[in-house]
Amino acid sequence: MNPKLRSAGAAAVTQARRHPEILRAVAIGVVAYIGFSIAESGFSTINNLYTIVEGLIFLGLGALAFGLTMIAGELDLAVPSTAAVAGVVALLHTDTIITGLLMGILCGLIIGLVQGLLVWRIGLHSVVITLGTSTALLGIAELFSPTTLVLRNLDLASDIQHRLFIFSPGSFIAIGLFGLAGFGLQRTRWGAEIRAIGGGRNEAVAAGIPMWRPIITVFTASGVISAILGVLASLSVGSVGPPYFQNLLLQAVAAALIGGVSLYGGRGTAFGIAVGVLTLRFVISGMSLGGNKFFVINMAIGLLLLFVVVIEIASDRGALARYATYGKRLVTWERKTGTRAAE
Amino acid sequence: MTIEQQPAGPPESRGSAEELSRREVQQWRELRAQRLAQMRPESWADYRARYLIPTISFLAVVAVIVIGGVTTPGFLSQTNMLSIIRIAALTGIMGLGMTFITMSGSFFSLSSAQTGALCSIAFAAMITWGWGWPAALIVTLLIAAAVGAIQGAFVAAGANPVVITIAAAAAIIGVPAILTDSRAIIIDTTEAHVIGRSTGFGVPIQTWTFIALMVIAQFVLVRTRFGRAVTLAGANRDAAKAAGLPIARIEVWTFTLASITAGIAGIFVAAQSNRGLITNLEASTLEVIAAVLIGGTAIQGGEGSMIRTAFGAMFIVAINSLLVLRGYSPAIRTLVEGLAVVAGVSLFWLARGGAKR
Repeated sequence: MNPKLRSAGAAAVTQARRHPEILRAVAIGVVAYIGFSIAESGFSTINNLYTIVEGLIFLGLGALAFGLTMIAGELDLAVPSTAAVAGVVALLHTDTIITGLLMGILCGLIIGLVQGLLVWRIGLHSVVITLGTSTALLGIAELFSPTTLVLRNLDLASDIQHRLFIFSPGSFIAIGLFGLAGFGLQRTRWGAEIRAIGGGRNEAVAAGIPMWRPIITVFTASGVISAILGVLASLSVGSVGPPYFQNLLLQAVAAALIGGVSLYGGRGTAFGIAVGVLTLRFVISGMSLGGNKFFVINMAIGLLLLFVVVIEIASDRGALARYATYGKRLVTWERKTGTRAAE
Repeated sequence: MTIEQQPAGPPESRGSAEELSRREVQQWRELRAQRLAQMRPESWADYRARYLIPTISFLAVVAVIVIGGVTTPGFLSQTNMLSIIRIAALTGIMGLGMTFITMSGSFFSLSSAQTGALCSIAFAAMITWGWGWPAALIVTLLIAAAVGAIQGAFVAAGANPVVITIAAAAAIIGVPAILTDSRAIIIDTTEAHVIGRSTGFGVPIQTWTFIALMVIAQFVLVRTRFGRAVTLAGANRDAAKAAGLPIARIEVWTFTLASITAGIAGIFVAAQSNRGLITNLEASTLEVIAAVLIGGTAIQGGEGSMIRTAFGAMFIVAINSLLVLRGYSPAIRTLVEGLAVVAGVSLFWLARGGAKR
């Protein structure tokens, strides 16, 4: 066999051993793809695949933003509201795509910085802070657009959605961001710090990582990614309203967890999140083709999410090992003292 | 019980179990005596620890009512006040259950609005099947309890409560949405009017229920073994584990209680409006969490009370009513609610004397 190919194969095997959760994500994705291809005749057409890949913008960037904060051991519940604010602001500045995008990103940058500062300074868990800011941001988005905003220049929408095989300029931007996030997470000092505070916060602080840097980095990144999501989604749909993004949270959490981001923080890759997103898009697309209603699909996503959590808990080898040692110690202790420690 | 009870220290060196426990009780008594001696009841620190935060949240409610009364005609009218206490009662009832979750250190549940909607539909359906209201009430609350216990079991197994309740919310609302096809179930008898529309001394039944439940919940939280276990689990999870508290069972119970209170709110909505609909109580989750947090229950757990949550609910509903009367848009109301949560949480953090992280 070609030695290059063999070493690439060996590297892939090593990666798979190091990240069993990605293997799991890929397996779920492949099963979903094959299953729906057989069940729904329109599933694996180019048109439908294009729709699925377009989901990398809406669902994908949402899952990326949410997943990054999750890797850092935090949760950014403000992703949908940030996207709504950025989308509304972008549609108010649509002379060109660039101005809209820049204004939206600026919003996301400010929102992310403020949230990062609040989370770092107040030192409470980020779900509380971001729940508050998320509500406030939703109010701001409603203030800007009491009714649905419509894009006047519809050429912009068709520019972003222009189909190239199964891709579009919008999904290329999304894929680029995934690459950037993956590089940042795996190869830079900032990424290492983010993973460190997620995996073991006390150990990270003891090792001398200044908490403000990873916290502010991750929330700013999450804000900017959510903003780009908001801008791209509202430009390509051609309209935006504050409630447009409210369902995003469920899907983003599900995609991130399917993609192997740890519930407990510290573990997760951009590639895994992308796999999770595609898997979830297969499910959503397949179920929509099957004529299921919104609530049914949402319920399926909710149950899928719970299922992934079960796998996650069950495959937590640390927990099982701990359980075993506790059990052993308990038994010896009980035998020696002649009492029952447990009720 | 299982994993949590790891016997502390090497058992050999500590004598028999009986002696061990006697010695531990002795140590604990000494420690408590020391603590009590240190605590000067009149000191500022004691006052701050006990009363500062409830005072702030109480004054906030008073401030809203005074400002509203002075600036806005009609705010202090009997109709408006009755409507405020009726709505605040629903938010407050849901808040009581949520307070247990927050106290135990599991943040909050994002599925209470959906649980409430599920229960409003279940209750309406049972009434239309010709059941009497007591039977419908009990069965509906059993459903709510089951839904809550399942979520609690997930959280007890180590999953993040926010993630679990986001997933549960979608799954919970899916069932009635599929069964009713998103249409309302109309109650066309007067069977449910007893619990929906009756009043006592001119005050709606919702408010009386809220007051009664608040007293019970406060009693449970402060005076019972369960309540103290919840508080310790939130105040210091490691200590609670080391003391052998059944953390898993506590978590299942807190989520069950939160779910039952959401169910009670859902039943009230169905009985009052004569409709079971999946959009009943929609968007109430945020209001309920805001009530708990603005009331001053600490989000990291271990500190709080049902009375604080009642103040929080009054504050949120009163300020909403004031903004409506003054003609502000829903956007402003959402904005104010969000800012109030951030400001409240930050302020109480300062009042407690700084970061814990």
